[in-house]
Amino acid sequence: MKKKNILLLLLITLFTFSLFACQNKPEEADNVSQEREVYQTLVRAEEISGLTGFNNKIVDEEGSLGLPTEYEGVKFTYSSRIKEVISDDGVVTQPMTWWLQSRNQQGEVVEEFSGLNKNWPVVIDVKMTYENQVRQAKLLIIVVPHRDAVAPDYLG
Amino acid sequence: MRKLIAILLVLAASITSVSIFASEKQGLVYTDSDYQRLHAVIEHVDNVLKYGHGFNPNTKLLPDAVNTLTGEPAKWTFPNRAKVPYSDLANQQNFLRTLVALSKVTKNDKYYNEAKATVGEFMDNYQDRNGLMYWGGHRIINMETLEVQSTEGENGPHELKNMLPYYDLMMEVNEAATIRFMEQLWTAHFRWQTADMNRHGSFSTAYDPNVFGQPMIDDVIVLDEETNLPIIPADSPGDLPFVNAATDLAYAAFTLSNHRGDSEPAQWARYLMKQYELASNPDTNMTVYQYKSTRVSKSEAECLDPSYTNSGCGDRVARQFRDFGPIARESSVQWKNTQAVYVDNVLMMLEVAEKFGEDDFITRSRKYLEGYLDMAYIRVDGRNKIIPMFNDGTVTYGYVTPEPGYYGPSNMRIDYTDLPSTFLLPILRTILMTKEEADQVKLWTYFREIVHTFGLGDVGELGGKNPSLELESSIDDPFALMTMIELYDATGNRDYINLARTIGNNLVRKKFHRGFFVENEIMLYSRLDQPDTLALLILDGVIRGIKTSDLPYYLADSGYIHGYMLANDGVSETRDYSPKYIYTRTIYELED
Repeated sequence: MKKKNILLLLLITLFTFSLFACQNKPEEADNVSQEREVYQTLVRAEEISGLTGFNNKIVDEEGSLGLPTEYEGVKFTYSSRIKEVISDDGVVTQPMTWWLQSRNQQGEVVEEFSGLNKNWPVVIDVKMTYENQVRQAKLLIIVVPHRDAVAPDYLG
Repeated sequence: MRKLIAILLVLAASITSVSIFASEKQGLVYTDSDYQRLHAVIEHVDNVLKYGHGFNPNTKLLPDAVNTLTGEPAKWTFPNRAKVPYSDLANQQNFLRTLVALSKVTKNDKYYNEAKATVGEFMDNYQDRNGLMYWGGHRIINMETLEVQSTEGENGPHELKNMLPYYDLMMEVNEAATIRFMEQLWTAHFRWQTADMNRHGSFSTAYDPNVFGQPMIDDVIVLDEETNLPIIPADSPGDLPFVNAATDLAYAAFTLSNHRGDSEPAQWARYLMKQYELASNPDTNMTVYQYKSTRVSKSEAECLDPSYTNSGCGDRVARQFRDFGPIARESSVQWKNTQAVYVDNVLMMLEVAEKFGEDDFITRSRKYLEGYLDMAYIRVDGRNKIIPMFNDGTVTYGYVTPEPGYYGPSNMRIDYTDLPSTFLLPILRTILMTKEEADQVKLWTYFREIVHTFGLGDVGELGGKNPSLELESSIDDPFALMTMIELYDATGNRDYINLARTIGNNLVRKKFHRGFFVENEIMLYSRLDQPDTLALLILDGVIRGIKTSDLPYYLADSGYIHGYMLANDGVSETRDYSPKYIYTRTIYELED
């Protein structure tokens, strides 16, 4: 009889435990709600901070792009994939060469292809941080080379 | 008693240490709208069977597409003006899966028997002596005469690209013919001594009973000692090992190995997939569409013309994108054929991992997808996009092509490409099959962003247990639908099944017209390979409590015909694909 009681008690404990395990406790619900709010703040920061306006922007002057660094507590950090052209701080240095030298498929210089691909596409990886959550984005900015820029070495 | 307590403690421990995606599903109530969706699928299937069989009562074969105004089969118009109503079973795999799924949810074998009858007649009559089937990109069955015709000259080759046949059904219907096909697929398409591979296989290649018994060869991809980057050979004699053909070869070999308990086909499939892995860029983890390019076999004079894009003039990207230097190779391109590389191939690898235990493929899928999204995924104007680049990360966005070539005309400006909703399933399935939580984090973060940008709402933090979804979404996308079903299956959260129901209702409202599923209301043809009806039936099955593993699985819908035809001007000859030629026609362009 005693064994049966212990068994019954254990089963009830297990059943109760499994029921509670299936549901969010109040503090868990708060955490969920807070996590969602943080996520929404990050999404808003990307959409409203002015960040996305830099995508596909054609830049024809040197100096700071003025990339946002903070919005509603969200911190922005940047990592440029061509740092000589746009630094991680968003400062543009117009290159002294064109992006690519274009020739025909035999590798011969053809006047009409000269300067066909002057402008540099620069990708910047963006990290937005808020309350220990991170959202990532990318920017692609087109930088016009310096007015005195020349054709780069031919890669082909 | 101690034993009993120990068992109970183990049981309790197992409850507390479940996966982050563990689901606790409770019964769902089947509603009127659930029934209405099912009814639409039944009506579509019944109409396809009625009109498909009505055209020629002497066959159980079905047309690839049905004209939704006349009920007639889609027709291929040859350059000599002959209009041929055609059937190509490779392009009907999702309809076969739909038939089997419909029998599962209705518990009526009628549809399953239809599928078996169609496959049976095809396998009995349309398998070449050498084992290849008369199907795929260049062979069709004339629905009037029931004769085989070629769309690529007189003797069009065998070609499968991501068709991933429904082998389970084929095995049930005709095991010997299925095995012979799987074997000959390799004999006809793969060169055992050089690892050259071609999407085209000849019907003249003799059947080889020792097909997988060839001695294993060294990897054809080696790393450059200085750069540590893979060297992509340019020695292929006209064969181009496109991954979309390799996907079918690998799937067949793994299935065959599993079926026969014979490890050799799987070893060759592993070898084949390994060449793509070795050719991937080790710094970015972006992978490749092909692991070789062709050697130059055409004359210098012929290749002087940039618009002559024959692969006999060598690598076509190296020609047209020469300005970028050595990275410009067909294998490196990351803005074209990415569906084949990152969706179809990944879905095959995950299927093989799940069914046959190829766990390496899960890690590989994760690596490729993470690499691609890390380097190229961008949100532009609130849409999911891809930055065009080579697989070392060299961006090609904005590049203007000086001359014409295989990738387009001169003065073409390279732009972003869309990241389509088809990417949802490979990303989600990779996450769900990845064992370690820490390894799931990165892909889940991308998944969350992509889903949100598609307008489906927020799937929440890793595990997806607490989503905030757009339950009133107007999206009618079958891949989004299957994604929500698989999230429900993984988490048990009813919001996912509710959003799946909404998407399903949208899909029926926007795509079910004149008794058929069509791409939209004005499209003329209903395509048998569309994924919509299969997605709707998987939803129906899950609501009824059927396990997704007991239902046919979505793998691809890449069916097409390619070949010579009469151009739209009604006079000249052209060469095109059925998706462009047939499935773009509207009800306002009804033919005679």
